[in-house]
Amino acid sequence: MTTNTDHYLVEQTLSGNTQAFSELVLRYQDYVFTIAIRIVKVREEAEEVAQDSFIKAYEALSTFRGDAKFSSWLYSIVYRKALDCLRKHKRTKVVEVIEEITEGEAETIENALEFLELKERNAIIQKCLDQLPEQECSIITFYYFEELSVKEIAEITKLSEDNIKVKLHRSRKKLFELLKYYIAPEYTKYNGKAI
Amino acid sequence: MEKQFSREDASMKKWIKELPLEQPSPDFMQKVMAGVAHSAMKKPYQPLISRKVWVVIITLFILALLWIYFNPSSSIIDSEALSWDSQMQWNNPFEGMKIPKTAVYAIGFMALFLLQIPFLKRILDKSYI
Repeated sequence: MTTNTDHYLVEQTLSGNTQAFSELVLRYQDYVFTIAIRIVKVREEAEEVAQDSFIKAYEALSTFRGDAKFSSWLYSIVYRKALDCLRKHKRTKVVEVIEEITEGEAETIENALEFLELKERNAIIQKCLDQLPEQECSIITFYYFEELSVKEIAEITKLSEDNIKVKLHRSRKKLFELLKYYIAPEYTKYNGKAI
Repeated sequence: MEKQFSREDASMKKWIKELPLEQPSPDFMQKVMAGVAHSAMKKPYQPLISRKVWVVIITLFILALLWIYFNPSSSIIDSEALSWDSQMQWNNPFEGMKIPKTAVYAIGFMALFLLQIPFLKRILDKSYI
């Protein structure tokens, strides 16, 4: 079975074949929805963002440059639409983690997570991701989940590559810090050891 | 430090890659394609006065200006036709009216108040983001 490439489907859509666009929707709907929900956090709003993004992509398809990846171009639309949605609902998250996690603590978290069942581990990671600020959560998703390069993320978010690197580093630290409290709540900086 | 960084990086990648993809509602595709069909039917925006008409209007206007500039004596407007204007008596209907100073201040402050609404709205909108 041959799979049509994104570029072929884009060309077909531009020549008036809307069926080709439905194939693109089918291919990317879960990815687009995952990015939307990671940013807006509310399922209904994420669905609306994902729908609007596809419609916007269809309308602006003639502006898509063939030399770029269609997925990156589509994700940049989702990212902007999701941020617009947050602005519309005047909702942004600010999480400040000042504590630096030590190497020993990081190892404890890693070991503890590895002992958990996949379902349980996923639930904890998902909870921690939900607590991250929207932009950082999206950058983490683009980098680790979609495996996009720093350059591609910079193009999507319109931030500099250095800024993305700093944000990635900070987000990872915040996630480890959040994981620490989910996995070992009894381990605090005040007593310094497990009770 | 470098070792800790790369280990954290690898663990993070593994955990996040393990997360399942979120799935939208079953009728998601139908909704999107209905939106796409609606969008395809929409006519692209066309301005009331097209670019060509604007070019013609501007050219005519410039030509008229040039014509008036180079031929001031042979104006198409009969100067006699405008003379009725000077013969007419114009009376200002508000000539005798006096506005108290308090009312002037009140109107002035009201105007200032209305002027600052868009600025205040912009500041408030920004503070929520």
